[in-house]
Amino acid sequence: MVLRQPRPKLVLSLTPLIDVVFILLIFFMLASQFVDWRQIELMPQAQVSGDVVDDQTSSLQLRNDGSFLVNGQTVDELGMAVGRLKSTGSDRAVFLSPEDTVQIQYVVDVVEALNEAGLTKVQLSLVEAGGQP
Amino acid sequence: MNTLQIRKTGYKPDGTLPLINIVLLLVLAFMMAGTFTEPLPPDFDPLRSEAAVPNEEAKQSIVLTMDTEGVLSLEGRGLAAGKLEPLLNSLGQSEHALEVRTDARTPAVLVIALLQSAEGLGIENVQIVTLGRT
Repeated sequence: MVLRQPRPKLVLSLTPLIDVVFILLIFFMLASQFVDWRQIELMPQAQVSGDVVDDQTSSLQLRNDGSFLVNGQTVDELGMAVGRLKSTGSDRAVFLSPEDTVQIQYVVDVVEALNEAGLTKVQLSLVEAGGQP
Repeated sequence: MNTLQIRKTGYKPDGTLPLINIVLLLVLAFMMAGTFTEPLPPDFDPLRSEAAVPNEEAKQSIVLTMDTEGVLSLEGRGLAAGKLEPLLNSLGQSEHALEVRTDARTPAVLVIALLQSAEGLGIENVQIVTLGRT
């Protein structure tokens, strides 16, 4: 009679699995981002020479000192500037031109204020050497 | 019979199984919710807006990042000034969208100049991306 040797116990080690899963977790934690990017409409004015403010358009210039130039007239507050632009007609296109040190965040804030007031046709333009957009 | 004996005597529920389950769930959560984009520079202050709409990721978009000095980087790597126009030219001839991320403190004239250049070279899909206000 042959006696069978008892089989060795099968022990499944989970340590390598845990190692791999932890490494995966650390990789995804470091490599992935949870930033919720959104997009905003900022349309540049078409590069057409000789663009002037006419009865279909208004101009709003953002000056370095924080004041505004609305259709050639100086205004100190954003609310007043928006009010003046709105009084000329909400369907007009607004050419928004910041001076050289005005930050883009401020321009976005102004665009949002204009949009809230119903002025949605806002185009960005550059101030030319003569001071006119 | 042997198997039965092994089960009776050799198998012990492993206390690490719940840990593995939780870690696997965490891995799945990071895989599903996170995105793999190039990291922003450490001192980058992203542009913020309220009325922005969720960014619909274009099938193929090129990400340009502009810092406070107007220096551009493409997909996280610095872009030499002379390489911008060829890049915009190639984008204008393709279906690629241009995604611009600017620092909030960047002079607006630099951003507008970039937008005008892109538009002038025929790029139709230019997106300024922002973060929501917190």
